[in-house]
Amino acid sequence: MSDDTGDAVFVVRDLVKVFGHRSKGHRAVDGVSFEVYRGETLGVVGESGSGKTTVGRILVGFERATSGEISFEGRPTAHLTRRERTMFRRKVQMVFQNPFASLNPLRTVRSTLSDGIARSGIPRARREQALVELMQQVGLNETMLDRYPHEFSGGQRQRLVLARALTVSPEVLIADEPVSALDVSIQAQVLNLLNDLKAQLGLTIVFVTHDLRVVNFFSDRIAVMYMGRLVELGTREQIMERSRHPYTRMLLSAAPHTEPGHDIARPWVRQEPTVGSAQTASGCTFAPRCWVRQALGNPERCLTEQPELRANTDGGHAAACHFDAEVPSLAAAPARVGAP
Amino acid sequence: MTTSSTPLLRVEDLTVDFHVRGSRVRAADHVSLSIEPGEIVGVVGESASGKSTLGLALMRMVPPPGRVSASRIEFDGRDLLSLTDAEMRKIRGHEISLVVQDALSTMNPVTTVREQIVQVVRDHEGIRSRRLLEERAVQALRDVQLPDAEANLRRYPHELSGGMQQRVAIAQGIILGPKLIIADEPTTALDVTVQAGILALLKQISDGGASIIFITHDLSTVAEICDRVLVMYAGRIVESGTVAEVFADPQHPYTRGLLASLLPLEGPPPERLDAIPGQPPRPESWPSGCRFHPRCDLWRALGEPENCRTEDPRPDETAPHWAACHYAREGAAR
Repeated sequence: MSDDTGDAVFVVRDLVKVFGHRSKGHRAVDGVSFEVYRGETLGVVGESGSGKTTVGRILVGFERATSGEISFEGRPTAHLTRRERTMFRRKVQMVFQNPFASLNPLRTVRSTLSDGIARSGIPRARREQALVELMQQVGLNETMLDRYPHEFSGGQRQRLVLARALTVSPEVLIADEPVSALDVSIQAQVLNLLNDLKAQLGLTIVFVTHDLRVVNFFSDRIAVMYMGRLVELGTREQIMERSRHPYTRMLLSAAPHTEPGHDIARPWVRQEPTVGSAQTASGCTFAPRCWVRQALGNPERCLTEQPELRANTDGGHAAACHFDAEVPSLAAAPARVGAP
Repeated sequence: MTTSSTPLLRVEDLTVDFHVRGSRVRAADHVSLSIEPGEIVGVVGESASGKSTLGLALMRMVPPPGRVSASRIEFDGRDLLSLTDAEMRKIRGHEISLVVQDALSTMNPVTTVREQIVQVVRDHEGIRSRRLLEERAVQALRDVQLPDAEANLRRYPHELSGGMQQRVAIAQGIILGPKLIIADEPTTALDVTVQAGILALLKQISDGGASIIFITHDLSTVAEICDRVLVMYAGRIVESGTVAEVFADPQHPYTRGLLASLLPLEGPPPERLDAIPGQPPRPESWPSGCRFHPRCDLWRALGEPENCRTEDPRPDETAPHWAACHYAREGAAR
């Protein structure tokens, strides 16, 4: 990894999260390092069990890391003063997947939004105006201020959740699957809204999702996670069009086509690992499902040596694979990535 | 395709009403369709479109206070509506089976995978021999490509991954050799690499002769495996055609909107998405006339013509590709 951390909002180093017993427990996040730069959207993509949600929750402070270090604007988050912690909580806001569970059903929209507005230091006389502006900003009618969450549809609730996050004028938004629970037509609306807000407010966004299409639409850079590890990191183009990790390639090729008439046989997509299959203490976690390893005659090194996330000469594009140099040529068969 | 052989299933004017506190809520409204043997027909829609209700109605499993009416539900030469409950029970599982999104919730958590599967065979075929039942179960798990069949038979549902649970549910659904499988969002909760395997499996099952009604919100999965597609909106079918035709030349503004909402995976992403404005209506308050008109960009572009607001579009449903839109032709030309 490069040590270029200039203008990084978050710097994450060797992040580990173990659930349960310290040595025997489940390593949900297993030695992850990356930066989040100011003004960018970093997409964190992975399947279930990849640790993507846990990374998001640790960043925002809902979960405490087992080891590793996170600094926010140059200060380690583990050692913030009380004052700094208050600032941190204002600057970093989270948006969850399920807009039905993340709003208090007993409070009106006005009441929910007023908390943050009051805390953001807006004088009392201007607060009503701020509420109205906020509603307009997320595309809701100000007449809805006195309604309760159950009176809103899923898409509207996700707008409310966004509005609540914005009451404190945050700098960073951590969004965990913010559109996954929404209808297709509503997803597009909320993604457009997020794009507008990002542009208007200069937000830095960490976008956690399983959805490759969403991550492709929304990200400047993409981090791909597999079983607790960061396996590839690069710009949107690098990951979506020139991926050098066998897992990313597999993920991309597994996504359904958007037009009919394609062959749906995907010989390089392997069955999911069995639940509770032991995480390999040494070696690459992806080795048992890896089509590149198989094509290379199952080299021993993949089982004995854990690949480091290494950047290559292509502008910091990093992949954690011993044989990443082989991937683009081998990918000729499964390539729909980068195909015209 | 629709006129050639005798369809396996022919449904005319299927309507599902829920009578709640004196008012009537119509979840599915005069839905007509036919399914040929070996065909996979996608039913696409958003929430409250009636797509799941349609699946339940075909199984005669709509829960009270729901009421199903139709001028015809003919399955394999029999009229499903006139069957007694006992006769219908024999058809369920045996000839028509249902596979749902949340496989785990359909299984008994305290019985093994083996028991979940053989129960169906015992109940429907009266087989008692342990050895025969075991053989059937092992074969069923092999048919759905679940690795390590013998070991997995002894496991409990929660010990399997989501993809394996869905494979077990499908094994249960196909073990009696049904002619029709209704799969309601069978891959929605699954990871994309797992979804690819389940879709390929469904395709394989239909190649073996079974017909599948594939209910989903995701047009890309329809593009993958379906032969024909029915697009549902607000309780009605608004477009019907082969997958190739509907994707290449969508006739209904709603279908066009859904296709435009599909995010690309290749090439630079668009700056903005062409989102359909507003939200799907609820059955309590379907809009008048064409139910899509309040969200329709074509309607606005044409100067909000009156008939969209007052008249139901009446398409010729015998055509191989049709759309329930007064201005389908104008829309396609734009």
